[in-house]
Amino acid sequence: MKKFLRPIYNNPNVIKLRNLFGIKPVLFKELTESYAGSDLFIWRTDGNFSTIFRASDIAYTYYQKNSKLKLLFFDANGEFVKEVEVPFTQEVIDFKIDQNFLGLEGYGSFLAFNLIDEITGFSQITNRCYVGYSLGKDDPSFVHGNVISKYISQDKKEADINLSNKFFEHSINTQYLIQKDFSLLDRSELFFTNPLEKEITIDANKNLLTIMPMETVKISVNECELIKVKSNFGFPRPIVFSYKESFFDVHHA
Amino acid sequence: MNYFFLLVKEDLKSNLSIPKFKNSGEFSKNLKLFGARIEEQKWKFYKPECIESENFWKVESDDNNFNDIYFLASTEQYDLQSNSNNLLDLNNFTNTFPDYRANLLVKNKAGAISSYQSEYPYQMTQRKGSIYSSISTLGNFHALENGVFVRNIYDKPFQDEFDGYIYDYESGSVLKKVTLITNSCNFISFEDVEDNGSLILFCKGYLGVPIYFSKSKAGNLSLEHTHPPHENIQGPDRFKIVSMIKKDLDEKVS
Repeated sequence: MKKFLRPIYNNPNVIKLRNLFGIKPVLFKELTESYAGSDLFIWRTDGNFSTIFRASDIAYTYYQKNSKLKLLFFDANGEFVKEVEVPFTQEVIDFKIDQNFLGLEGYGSFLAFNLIDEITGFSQITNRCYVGYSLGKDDPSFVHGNVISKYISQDKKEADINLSNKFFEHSINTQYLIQKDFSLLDRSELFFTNPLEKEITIDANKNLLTIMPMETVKISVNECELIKVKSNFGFPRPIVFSYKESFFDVHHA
Repeated sequence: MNYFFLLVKEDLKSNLSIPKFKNSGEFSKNLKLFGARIEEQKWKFYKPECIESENFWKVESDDNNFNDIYFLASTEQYDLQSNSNNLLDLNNFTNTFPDYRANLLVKNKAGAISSYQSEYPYQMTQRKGSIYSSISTLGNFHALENGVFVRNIYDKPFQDEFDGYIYDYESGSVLKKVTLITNSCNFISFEDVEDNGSLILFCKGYLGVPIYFSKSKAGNLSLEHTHPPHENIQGPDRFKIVSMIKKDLDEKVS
């Protein structure tokens, strides 16, 4: 019986209803088509920061296909800034994101899609990638992608970018207690993004925020041991920058 | 169930902060922190020295514990584990979504810190296999220090040798071969390696977590692990594809 009901229960339209009424909600879409997925990464050019992005050639390593990396940049308000395409000419692309490149001082988000040049077979690429942050001209400190958020169908990627959401739309009351002791640090910053197509709310230790789609928000915290995040978004896991004396640390929460 | 571990090398100690709560906010009611180390080819289970607060157990690395592993268990579960010479899947407190993580922080004498949210799943301790990790994506080749920790935890209480290779896809050659030890904290320096964007770390025989470490010219530290290769693609054949990549590389380094 369960086997018979499972396709109905997991039908996307039924999942929308489940998510609407909070009945065993489902966050992530299981896709059957060829696609390239991307995390919603954070770039920083504020203060003295610059950002390094590294992606390996998943299309060639896994599918023996030539490909390029398509990068889409958004400012802190979620407004599209610019896009670039970088062909994979070697195993790893190393891309610098600074004020000269973006024409912006601040922070925001970006997407990175590993797009295959000629689609002839099935491929689902969720290239996780790594982001490094440097202060001044120093070497970067790295963090990996947080969660796959957006995708592009590999066979519908021409002309205008048609971004799709890896998340089902949802409103799930979620509590995320970050599993780290913040008390020994001078201060920390939490970066939240909103990959959904509607606004979400974030409450981080009583800092209340509404975040619009694709918007990036920074919250500064100090003098606390724990950080409790409450949200109607089901995956409110921020990127954390922590500072101690002249040093900094970055990781996903 | 998950295990937790420390990382050490010269001028580098580590602090492990294991939360008493899940990231959903649920606190453990009866779990305590225990440790295990290998002595005379047997697991020796013990109650570790740690700083315990309302929210965390904290363990600091020293000269004796850097290869030890840590886990949460009730007293009854600990007794059960103590009578076994293999690692047991004792409880599911740390099996959560998003993943339960401890904070593993490295620090040096200058006061620089870096951390990542770490765990070592029980299922990985039950299997042999190989490690495939792109050095060129996380190596920091302009930094003062640059390398990778390779941490394996294996069910059997042996400290066996296994081979690690730095392989250059561009030239099709092995640039460096190292001997690694199971159930230990291994470190491979990239000091004598030049990056060309095509370097892969491949380790034969055992699974493990590759954790890249660097110290910048200004003294800042970086610590981050690479994802397992099957997380870079989806679809029904992803494990088969990864297996073929590893098999191909296995033949190339042999």
